[in-house]
Amino acid sequence: MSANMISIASSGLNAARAALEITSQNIANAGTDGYVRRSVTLSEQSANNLHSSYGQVSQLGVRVSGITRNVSGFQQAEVRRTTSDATRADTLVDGLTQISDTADNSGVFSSITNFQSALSQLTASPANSSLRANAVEAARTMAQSFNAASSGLSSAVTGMRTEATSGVKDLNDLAADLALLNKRISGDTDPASNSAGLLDQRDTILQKMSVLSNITTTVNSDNTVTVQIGNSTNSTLVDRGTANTLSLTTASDGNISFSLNGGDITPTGGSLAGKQQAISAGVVALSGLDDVANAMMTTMNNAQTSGVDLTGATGTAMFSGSGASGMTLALTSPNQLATASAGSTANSQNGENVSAMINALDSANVSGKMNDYIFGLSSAVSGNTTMRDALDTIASNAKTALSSSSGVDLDTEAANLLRYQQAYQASGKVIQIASTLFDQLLNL
Amino acid sequence: MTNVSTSAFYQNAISSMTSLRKQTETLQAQISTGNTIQNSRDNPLAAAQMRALQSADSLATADKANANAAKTQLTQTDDTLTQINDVLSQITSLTTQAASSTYNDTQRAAIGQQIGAYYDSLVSLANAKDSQGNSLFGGQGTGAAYNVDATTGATSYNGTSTAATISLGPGLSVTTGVTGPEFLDFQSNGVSKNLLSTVKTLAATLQNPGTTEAGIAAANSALDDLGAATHSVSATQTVVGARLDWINTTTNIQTQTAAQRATREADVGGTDLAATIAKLSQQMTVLEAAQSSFVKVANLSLFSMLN
Repeated sequence: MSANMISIASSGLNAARAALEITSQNIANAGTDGYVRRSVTLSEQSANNLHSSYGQVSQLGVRVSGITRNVSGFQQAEVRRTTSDATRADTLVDGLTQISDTADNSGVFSSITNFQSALSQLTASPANSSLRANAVEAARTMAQSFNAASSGLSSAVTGMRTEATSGVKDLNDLAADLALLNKRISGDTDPASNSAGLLDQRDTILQKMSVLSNITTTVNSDNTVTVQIGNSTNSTLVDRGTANTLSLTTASDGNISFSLNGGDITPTGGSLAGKQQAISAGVVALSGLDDVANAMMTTMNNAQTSGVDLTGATGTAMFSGSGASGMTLALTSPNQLATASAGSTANSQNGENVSAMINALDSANVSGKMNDYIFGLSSAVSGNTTMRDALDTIASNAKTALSSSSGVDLDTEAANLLRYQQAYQASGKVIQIASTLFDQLLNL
Repeated sequence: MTNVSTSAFYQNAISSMTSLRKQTETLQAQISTGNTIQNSRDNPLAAAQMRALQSADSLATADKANANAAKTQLTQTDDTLTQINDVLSQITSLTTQAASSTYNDTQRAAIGQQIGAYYDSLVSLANAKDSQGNSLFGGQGTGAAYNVDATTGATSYNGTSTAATISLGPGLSVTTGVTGPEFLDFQSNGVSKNLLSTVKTLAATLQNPGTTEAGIAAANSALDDLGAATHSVSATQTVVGARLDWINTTTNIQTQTAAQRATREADVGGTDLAATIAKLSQQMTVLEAAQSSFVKVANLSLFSMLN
């Protein structure tokens, strides 16, 4: 009987110690990302039919039947889905903000206004050399602002492309890691081993993947996982121990596209999708800026040729090149500004062609076009920001729900620590009593 | 009971305090810059309106400069016309004396000499330069308004037929001067005449009349011409005065629209200081409350009770 008590108590000691260790592990990992709170599942050890004679109790104590990871697969999938959505929106807003701020701060709009203002001042005295120089310098500043805005937009797009390339590399690295991990998980059949740690790693990798792209995951019976990008066919990135490679292609216009297993694929979530959309917006913004620059150049060049310059010769084109990046001031001297109407003599005070230039700029509405252009870019940011904020809230709610149920609460762990300490002490007491009982028998 | 994890508690507290902090910083930026719009993306529509308003402001500066230039030009024209009028009245009073039979030929010749001197002043006034160094009465031409023949002293108009027009803003413009022929050429008894040549001929005739009667007759007929010329110069001065008035009117319009734009800019993009400061202090109270309650709750740990 005493021997039985001792063995029961020692199983209790073992169970309490295992529970204390798990509690310590939980406390140590209270701040670890991706750590899922563990708890010990205990079950009674009994043998009903063993030595089953009347009056004899066949109880064998307690055993640790398993270590539970307190996580819901549904909540994890929710977190991945909402993270993909929020990251896509966030990346897109970042990219659009960069584009909008570049166009906004390039000073193109104010340089157009200044140029118009300089032309307007020139009507006061069209042959005045300093007013002419002022107008020509305003034109030069305007051309340079267009150049700066265009190169700013180009470098923003290039930067986003570099980030997308490194995102693809990250995703491929994660896929390779997951394939390796899948092999280890499927080979891990010993229930006593630390499979919870492997599963934590698996889920962490999946979470990182969802930041890069929206993924569909299927958990197989052996706890390995199959990952698809999006949910279209032929889009398997990781299948158990095999990882496929996602590749990125840059088109001639600067847009990027992805392909997997030989087929084109378009992620709809994650930073890769956000980058792809932001780059496409950047390419559109570049061509929009080119349109404004071309409108300005066409208007001014036409107006120049319908007047005569200070020497009485027919005016030449004010700008050369094409598009915002190529816009260059072609006039080499303020004298070449064709201020006078056709047929005027050299050094004429006639300013009819300046007035014609001002009217042509007004009717071509170049300044209005630039204003609309900036408005378009900035309203894209504010529209997407509203959506981003909504998706962010949804994602952070999902994350809080997951981390509330799967994270470590230090108060609970402190209580558990006390509880298992008392259980450990109690089992020790049982051994002490069993030994006293045994001594009592010996002393009879 | 749902489990509340420690890390979730910290994350929630941090994110809510961060968002409060961001809001206070936005309000602070609005107060310190005086603008509610820091970037176009803060409020695209208002930013587009602000850009249009500021562009109108900048163009209005050019219009204002143009109005000032036109005003200078017209005022100078007015002054010069007054001087021409003065000279003309001197010539008229001399001619009246010359028309009197009480003067003998010698005295008439002396008057002719005086008128000849006034002719020179008339020519130099007709060739007056503006502040930019261009001819005041030469229209849009270059060089002097009237060429003076070196041997005969006769003049011929060198400028263009119209004076320059300056823009005073969208749809508004003013002609900034008058050309010589507009006031020096006049009609007398149905005949087109030019003041300069009339005076030159009068001076020459009085100095060398041939007969006394011819001298008196020349002076008498010149009196009619001079009257018509004086009328023409005065009429032109009235036109110049009307243009100056027009510039004053447009300047007033510009000032009013500029004031309207300033009000609109303040409405669209300006910070309502009272409201924003009140909002800021409200946000700061909330932030302080959040921070101090966070510190209190974070100190509540069962571990600190275990001993």
